[in-house]
Amino acid sequence: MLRKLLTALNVLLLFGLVLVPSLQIVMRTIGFPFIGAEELTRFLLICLVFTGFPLVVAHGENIVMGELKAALPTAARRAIDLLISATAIAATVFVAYVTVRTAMQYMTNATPTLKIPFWLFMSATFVGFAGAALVHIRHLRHPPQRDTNIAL
Amino acid sequence: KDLRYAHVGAEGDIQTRFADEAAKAIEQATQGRHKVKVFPASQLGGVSEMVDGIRMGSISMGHHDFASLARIVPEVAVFNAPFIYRDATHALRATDPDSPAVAAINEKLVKDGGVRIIGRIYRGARHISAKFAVKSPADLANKPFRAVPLELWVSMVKGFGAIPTPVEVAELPTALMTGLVVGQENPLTMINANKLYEVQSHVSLTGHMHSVLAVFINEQVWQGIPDADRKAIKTALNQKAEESLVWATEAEKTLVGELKGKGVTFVTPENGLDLAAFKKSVMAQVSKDFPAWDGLIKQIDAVK
Amino acid sequence: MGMVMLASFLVLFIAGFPVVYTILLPATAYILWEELPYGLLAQRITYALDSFPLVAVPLFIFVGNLMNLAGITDRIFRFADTLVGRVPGGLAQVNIFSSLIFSGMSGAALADVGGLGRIEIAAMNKKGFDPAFSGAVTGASAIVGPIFPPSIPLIVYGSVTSVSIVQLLIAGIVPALLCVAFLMLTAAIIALRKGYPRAERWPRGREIWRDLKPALPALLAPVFMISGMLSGLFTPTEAAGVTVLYVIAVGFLYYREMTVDHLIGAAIVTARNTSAILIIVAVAALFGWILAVEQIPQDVARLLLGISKDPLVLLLIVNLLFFVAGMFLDSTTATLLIVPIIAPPLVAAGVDPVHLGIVTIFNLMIGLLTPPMGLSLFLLTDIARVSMRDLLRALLPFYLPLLGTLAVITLWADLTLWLPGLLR
Ligand code: NA
Ligand code: NA
Repeated sequence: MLRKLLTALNVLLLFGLVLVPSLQIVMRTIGFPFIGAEELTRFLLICLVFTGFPLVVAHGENIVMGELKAALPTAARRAIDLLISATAIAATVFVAYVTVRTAMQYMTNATPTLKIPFWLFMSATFVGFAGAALVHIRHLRHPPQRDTNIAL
Repeated sequence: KDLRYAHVGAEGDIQTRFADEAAKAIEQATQGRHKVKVFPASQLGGVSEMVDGIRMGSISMGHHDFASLARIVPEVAVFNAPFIYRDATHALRATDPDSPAVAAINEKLVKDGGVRIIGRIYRGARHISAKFAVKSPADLANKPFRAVPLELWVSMVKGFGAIPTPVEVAELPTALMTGLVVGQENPLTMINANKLYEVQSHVSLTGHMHSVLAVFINEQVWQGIPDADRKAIKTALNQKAEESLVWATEAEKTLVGELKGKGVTFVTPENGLDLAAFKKSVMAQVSKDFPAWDGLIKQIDAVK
Repeated sequence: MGMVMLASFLVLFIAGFPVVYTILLPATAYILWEELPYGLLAQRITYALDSFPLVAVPLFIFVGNLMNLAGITDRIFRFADTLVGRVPGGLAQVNIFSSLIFSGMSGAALADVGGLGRIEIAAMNKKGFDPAFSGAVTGASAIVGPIFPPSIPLIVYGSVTSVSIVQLLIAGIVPALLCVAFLMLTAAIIALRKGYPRAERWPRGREIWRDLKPALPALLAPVFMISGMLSGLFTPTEAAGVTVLYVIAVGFLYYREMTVDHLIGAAIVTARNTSAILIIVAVAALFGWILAVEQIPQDVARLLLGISKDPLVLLLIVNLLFFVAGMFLDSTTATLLIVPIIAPPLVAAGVDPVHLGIVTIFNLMIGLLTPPMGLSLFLLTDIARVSMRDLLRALLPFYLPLLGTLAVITLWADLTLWLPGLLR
């Protein structure tokens, strides 16, 4: 359910990322540039990256150089996987907690042009890391089958 | 503990020289009790990040346009307003941290943001550059002109008669070359350092803005410094501010010659620049967009 | 403390921790240890992505994913087959040439290997090429993708160094063409010696036209994009948005193969790919902050400039450094962690920042093909179903044109700089 919601949100954000810059070209050409289009686009990007992160973890698509680990005996590999999950949970929970605290502290902060509130950005960061923490907790009992390497 | 001093200025800029020399001056003035480590060129983050970093204390101090503090106290942007100072000296006097206008704003900055303005840098006047001679707002009528995407700049560029169009600094030379925007405005140091003369034929010496940067510090850090040292630091920064005015004035003089040598034509009141028309049009737009500034503008104007 | 951080990063990296945690864990430990405000963690990670150029990253990934779905990839391959299938080496030349065409729309090397590569390797194996050789040609030619515009690595480079992305993209054109020429020459020599098959005869004008027509939209995309940027119609990031709309339009209206399901499917995958890469950009910013506070860049600069102040000598040193880094790090991580430290002293010594960008990225792309940690290598063994040993043996002769191109673009700065120079 949560996964579907995040996926749908990601698709919407991505289409927003395509449309806002394209629209800006049209607006500028006809002499009415949309001041703040860049800011809005950057905001959409931030939301896309963080809200997509739990899905990346769930699909085992984190960039990782797993070749050495893959060559290890099963027991050692399992131990490393557990260690990864445990430390990842600690780190993601901590980042999520810090994010909430920071957002509360700077509630009135906003972007300079469109006045997008700071806490909205921070909510994306929170969703990303809290969601990732949940997936990693699941991985404690059901470890990911294998690492799929993707990168550019 | 060392003070972390961050700013976004690049190598060769007046603000970079200021930060380096101010760091030494502070150390000297406090007999080595307070060491300052300078982090130039956005090493610790861009403008918003730097301001927030100083608020939370991950960075101790820094400097940038007064307007960068507008996310805490909106009216602080008035110190960046165009045509508000009579000349460079007036700009420096009016932005003294102990002047009534700055003191009033400082109180709010401390209360709402936990930061305090303790000094300033004079970085030079901003001028208009374009591929043609810009003599009056009529020359820019309905043409795309680069605007920093902040309300104040948008308002000012509208006052120029042009269409405010945002462009990232890194893409500015190309955008000017291709005609995405017909012109831009910046201090001569920036026009020279970023080689904008390669894509711009004319510079109109409008001096529409005096670029004064605020030096600000995390309030907790500030209160942690003994009273005598705080006084010494402020005196040192004030001394450097006066020096920055000299650097900027000298740099501007040599740069006019240097840019002429690179083929730039300067438009001045002698050959047709209608400064009064620019002032009138921009002031009208700004006072329409920022009615709340009237009181502060009067205070600034009253500074001798 | 900075050194401890770097060491723990390497240990976690080799142990197989996801890259995002190899950076996040030591950085968090540092913040706790140094008693820095925790807020720094949230603030720095979030603001790192507050960058307009980075918006092009998801957009070009989207283009690559859509092209593979819309059947454009197949048409590119067919056209290349008709045009250069007769050159000694036959399908090997087609493989190289189609990477150049594909590259005009996609900005990533692995998009080439994973999308076009599957088609190329299958076709070559069917014609009787050695699978290891097919894999080697695919991997070597995929390097062209991120050098010829558009390019995701160059965009990331531009966004961390504030170098004009338009300049970087235009600068990549000549080196990419040079690399293709060297690769085709190498493939021809190998094919002649091994007697690999090629097309019976050269194509007739009519046949070229027949296969050109369906490939035309892909060929026109870079033309359209570059001329749009040069005429001041749009910026590189906006060009990326336009390219997406263009591919969607072509897919629906011209090829009529795309469906709404395809579109949504590609969007879902694109979102995840984007997040996987840019989350590293986010945490790397935190790492960069700590390195800056620890004054590591200054130490490195002093070290480098202590060895020599000659731009060429420095470039050669840096090439060596990136080559070694590329053996272990993926290109995004290497760009984010090393470039901000290396670029300032080199630029101060007189190296042109655009030139440095092209040399760096080309070098790091070769790293995708060097053991022990070459992402292209892993993907290729998987697709071509060959052992790493066989693949590496087949790749050996291709390192020559790749390193040759690297040497030429390093030593001859004007080759890279004259085209963007026309724009200044
Ligand atoms: Na290929
Ligand atoms: Na490309």
